[in-house]
Amino acid sequence: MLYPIKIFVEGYADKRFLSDYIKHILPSITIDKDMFINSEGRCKSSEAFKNKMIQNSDNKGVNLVIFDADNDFGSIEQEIKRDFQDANFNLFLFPNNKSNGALEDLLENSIADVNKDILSVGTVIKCVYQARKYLEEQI
Amino acid sequence: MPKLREIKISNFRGLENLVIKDFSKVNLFVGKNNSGKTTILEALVFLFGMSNPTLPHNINLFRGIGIKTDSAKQLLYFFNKLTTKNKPSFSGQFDNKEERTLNFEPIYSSNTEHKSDIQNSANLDIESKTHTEITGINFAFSINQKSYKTSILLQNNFWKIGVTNDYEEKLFAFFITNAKNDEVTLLNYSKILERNDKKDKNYILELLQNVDKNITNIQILTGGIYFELENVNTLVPINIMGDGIRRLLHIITAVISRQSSFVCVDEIENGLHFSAYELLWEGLLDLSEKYDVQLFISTHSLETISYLKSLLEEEKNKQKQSFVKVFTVARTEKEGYKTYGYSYEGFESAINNGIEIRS
Repeated sequence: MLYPIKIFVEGYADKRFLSDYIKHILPSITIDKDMFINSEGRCKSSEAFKNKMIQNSDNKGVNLVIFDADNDFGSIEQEIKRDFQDANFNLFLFPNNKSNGALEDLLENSIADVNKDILSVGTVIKCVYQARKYLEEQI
Repeated sequence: MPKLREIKISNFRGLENLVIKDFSKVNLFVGKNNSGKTTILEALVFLFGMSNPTLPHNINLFRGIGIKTDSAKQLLYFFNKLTTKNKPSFSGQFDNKEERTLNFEPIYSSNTEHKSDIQNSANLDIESKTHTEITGINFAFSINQKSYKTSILLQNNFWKIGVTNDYEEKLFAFFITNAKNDEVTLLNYSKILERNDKKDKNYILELLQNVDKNITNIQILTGGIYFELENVNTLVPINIMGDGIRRLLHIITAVISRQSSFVCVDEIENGLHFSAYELLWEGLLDLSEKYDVQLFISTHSLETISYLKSLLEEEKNKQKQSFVKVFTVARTEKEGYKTYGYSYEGFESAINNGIEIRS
């Protein structure tokens, strides 16, 4: 029997990225709607996250906590371990589980050279301008 | 009046062992169907009314199990796995350090071989043969380690109730289920009118007008509660009114009718339109404080909890956030039945982020 896997994330973008990544590397895995538990802003959800982790462990499930390391990998790691001290979980901090940073840093480092332009401010402004022009033409 | 802080339930109906800690003033139980929410409320009622040996009958009646006089088999439904060796027991701790316990001890008919069977063997076949012959229950209860006994027994097609005169119950609890109970509503509403508190009377009228704006007054006449309706010349009896009106009145009159009690409400949303939730919660929060009532409420409805959350977000209600606690009741693979408690911050954040707390 497969026991439930719960992945705790702190934003829609993280959930979307991980969901797509799992589909890519493990196409046989079914991602059900309850696999991800997402909260915009970790601090306010610590009780809900902790309860859900304990409940999942009580159902023999596995908890994965995947957050951003932000500006201080060490203190974020300690903070998470303290917040969820009664729960069993595996922790991974973006971008690489050892450096400061976030999901965006991982994406920036892994984007193909040919697509790097998307990250420049100029490209983004150009896109927005073109989108606006397109919409105005449609109205 | 003391408030319950913790309850331990063993071998009661489907619950083998369950401990619920850190109750607040307003406690909500949420969970899937058959997760044990109603059973928890029943356990609370047993604990609050531990000296009352007729409670098994009353509680079974709420479940639609009638009182029979040819068999006491319905008493078996309180025992975990319907086996008398799994004897229900309850213990509770209150915020004034009071501790109370209640233990069920089955009584068997005198012609069964139960005693020798139990002594000689734990053979399941023998056990299943004997447990059907339960004829009553001895209740052993204690408060702060002082013990008392009561009983209920079916004898010659009559129910014999054994009470104790040594103990006077100081706690009072209401159990509101889906069963219509206009007689209790009448009794409670009469008590409220006796107090002549216009504010409470007006609140009740306002609450009901929120559901039916045609209601202009509520009257008590011989035979029950009647409503005055706009443009209707005849008084309308309560049982002609919709389920929502009857249920709202039942709940709110129970909370207001007496100072310092415990009110347990099963599936609070039943029969109620969502437009009544806000005013109902507002009333429950205010009046439970005014009348020093501790509430235990089960619900399936996220909408109900969301209305409560919205109300508590308002500036004027912020000090009441600490009054409320939500408990998810779940049956788990490793731990059996278990509850997971959420403070206001916890369930607010869960609801805002779409984290399901009802399962």
